[in-house]
Amino acid sequence: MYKIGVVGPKDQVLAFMAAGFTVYDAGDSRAALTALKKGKSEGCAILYITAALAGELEEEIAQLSADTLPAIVTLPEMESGYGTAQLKRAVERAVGADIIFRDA
Amino acid sequence: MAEIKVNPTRMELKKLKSRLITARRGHKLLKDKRDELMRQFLDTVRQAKALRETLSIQLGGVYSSFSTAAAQMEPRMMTEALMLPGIQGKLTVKQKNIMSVNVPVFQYEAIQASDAGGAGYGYAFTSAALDDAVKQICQTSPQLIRLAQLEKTATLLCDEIEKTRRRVNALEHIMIPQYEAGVRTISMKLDENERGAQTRLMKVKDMMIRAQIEARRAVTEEDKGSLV
Repeated sequence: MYKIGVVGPKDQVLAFMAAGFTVYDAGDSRAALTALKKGKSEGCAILYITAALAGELEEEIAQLSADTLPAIVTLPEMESGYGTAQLKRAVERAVGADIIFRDA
Repeated sequence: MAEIKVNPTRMELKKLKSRLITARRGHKLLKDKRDELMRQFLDTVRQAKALRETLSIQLGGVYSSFSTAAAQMEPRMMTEALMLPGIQGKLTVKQKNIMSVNVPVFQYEAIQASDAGGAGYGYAFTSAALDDAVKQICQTSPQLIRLAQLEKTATLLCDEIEKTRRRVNALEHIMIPQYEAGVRTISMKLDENERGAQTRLMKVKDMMIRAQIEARRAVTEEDKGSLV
């Protein structure tokens, strides 16, 4: 059985403990990177990370999630729109132009 | 464009022609693969986009209830309350093959940890906002898992599309024209050799006929002389 991890500042991610997710407390990007590596080695299939930390660790996340597992996903947040921006970038990379998010 | 250097022999021509056929077939197949990958990718991204939008609204509610709870409760109490989750998620991972890309399929099963149902803590010392947050988060977790699956699939497909597109372009604009040019060069060279050989033969034949005519003429003149 795989685990589900959540990486981020404690006050933001503690709530996910209630759903049975493993919470890794990380205040800054360095701690987040260590937490992501730890989560990966502990057998997390999915690692959620807060948008602010994901923004700082873009390259490292790409390296860590190069294989099929783990899936490192940005937590949906109203304000930042970072996750949506990443999806938009993926579309641009694959298609050559953004054909899905242009109306948004 | 740099042309490939080949010996102008029939053997090489045959080899190049078979390579050209393979390259054309590969190009067609890869193009089909790219189109199908693109279709699947766009489908996945559309779903992920919609789900992310819904989830950001739902999680916004969770965050606000949770911060209310955090303001009302002591941090230590809160951690204590959440330490034993009311729901234990069972996550199994399978793999699906989309056009030779292995993508994960997450199956999430929420198991109620306590018999009482709901949260895994006593209600006496916790705030009502925490109950709300916990309830909402338990409701949204299957969707969060689905989002992870969709986004991971999208990323993996995106990488594969990029690779496939590069291969298609390399075949279309470099390999196939190179092979075509090679085949053309060799066949032109071979034709040229053939024409050269033919001309040489004609020339030799010409010389032989001339020699025969002269010999015959010499014989006839000799005969005439003897008659005189």
